[in-house]
Amino acid sequence: MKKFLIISGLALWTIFVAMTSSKSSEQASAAPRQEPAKRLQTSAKSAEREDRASVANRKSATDPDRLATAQAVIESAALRYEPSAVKDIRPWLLDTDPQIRQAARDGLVMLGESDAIPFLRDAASRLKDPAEIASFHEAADLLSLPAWSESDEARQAMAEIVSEQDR
Amino acid sequence: MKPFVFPLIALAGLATAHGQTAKPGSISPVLFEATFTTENAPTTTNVQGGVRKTFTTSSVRYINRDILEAMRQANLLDGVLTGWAIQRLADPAGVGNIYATKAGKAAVAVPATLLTQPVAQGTARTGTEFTPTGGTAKPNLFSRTHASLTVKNGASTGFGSQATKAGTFKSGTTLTTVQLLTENYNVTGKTGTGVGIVTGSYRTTGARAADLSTLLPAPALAP
Repeated sequence: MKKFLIISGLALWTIFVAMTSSKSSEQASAAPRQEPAKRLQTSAKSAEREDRASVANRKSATDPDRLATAQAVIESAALRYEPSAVKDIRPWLLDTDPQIRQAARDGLVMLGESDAIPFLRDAASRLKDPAEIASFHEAADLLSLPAWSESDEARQAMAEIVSEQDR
Repeated sequence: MKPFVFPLIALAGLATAHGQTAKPGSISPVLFEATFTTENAPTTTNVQGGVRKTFTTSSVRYINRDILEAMRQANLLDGVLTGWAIQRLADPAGVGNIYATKAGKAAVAVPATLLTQPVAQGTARTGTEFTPTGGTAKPNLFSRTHASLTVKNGASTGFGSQATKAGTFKSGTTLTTVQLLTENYNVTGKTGTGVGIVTGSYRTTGARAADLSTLLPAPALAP
């Protein structure tokens, strides 16, 4: 009976600590957020189905859950750093929520692929807010420039960083 | 004591240690986008009645990906770009630095030769800050800010805004107040060689309270 009580006590304590620490780590996930792929597909497809031009110009109140989902999907795609990620972010460019459109625009800049340029220009032509239009064109202009990391100057800078590390 | 009790004790100890190692702080993704415009060497042509000099410029983009690519090539990352992001990590008081981060990896500070975070030189604040008796200040402030930063070894200036709010990090039963900083700057300046001009923006968005123990296993945040 005594042994049973000791073992039960230890087991309960382990479960209690594990549960409390997992709650806090859930709240504070340090890694870029990952969302289920199923949710991504549903949201992206429904966004594509709608008439993009009219959708983008309708006023829409921000839904925090939807915004969080969109940001997670966009970030996850952008951090792949490959051209195929453009098509995953593209549907969000003409979303009804301006914050999601901004996140999509920023995601394409973060991704840094020139394949995104025509989609940014197309989206800009369908928007009405002058500041947003300018922002989309600026992003397209930026992505049309050569990357600094491929320049001779960049190679020199990288060599300097390496030599500083070696010291 | 029976042998099967020892693994249970070890498990209990591990679980307790896991619950106690949280490092409260904040994470905010950084988006840096800039253009470097550099004057090319002028071309000289002889024309009727004199000499004509033609001046042109060339531009390159400098964004998160270029900074990470430079870090990758300098062997600071794990060999691939996939999964790496630039984020600002800060302690509960909001003091921190910008890092390259990836899930499950220790964060790597972005070299100052590539980009530094803006340091406020002048601010004009509006809002409120509540300090409970014996507690930590909980700001809700917006400030217009003039800041200095270094972009690719060149001095630059940022003009824009900072918003500071209080968030809460929960670890077990312990609640920690964490300052969440959102920044938005237009950046202008010169590139390291002094012959180029930098124009662009530095933004941090979506600051959230987080456990930094995996990203920053060292005891303290770098200044």
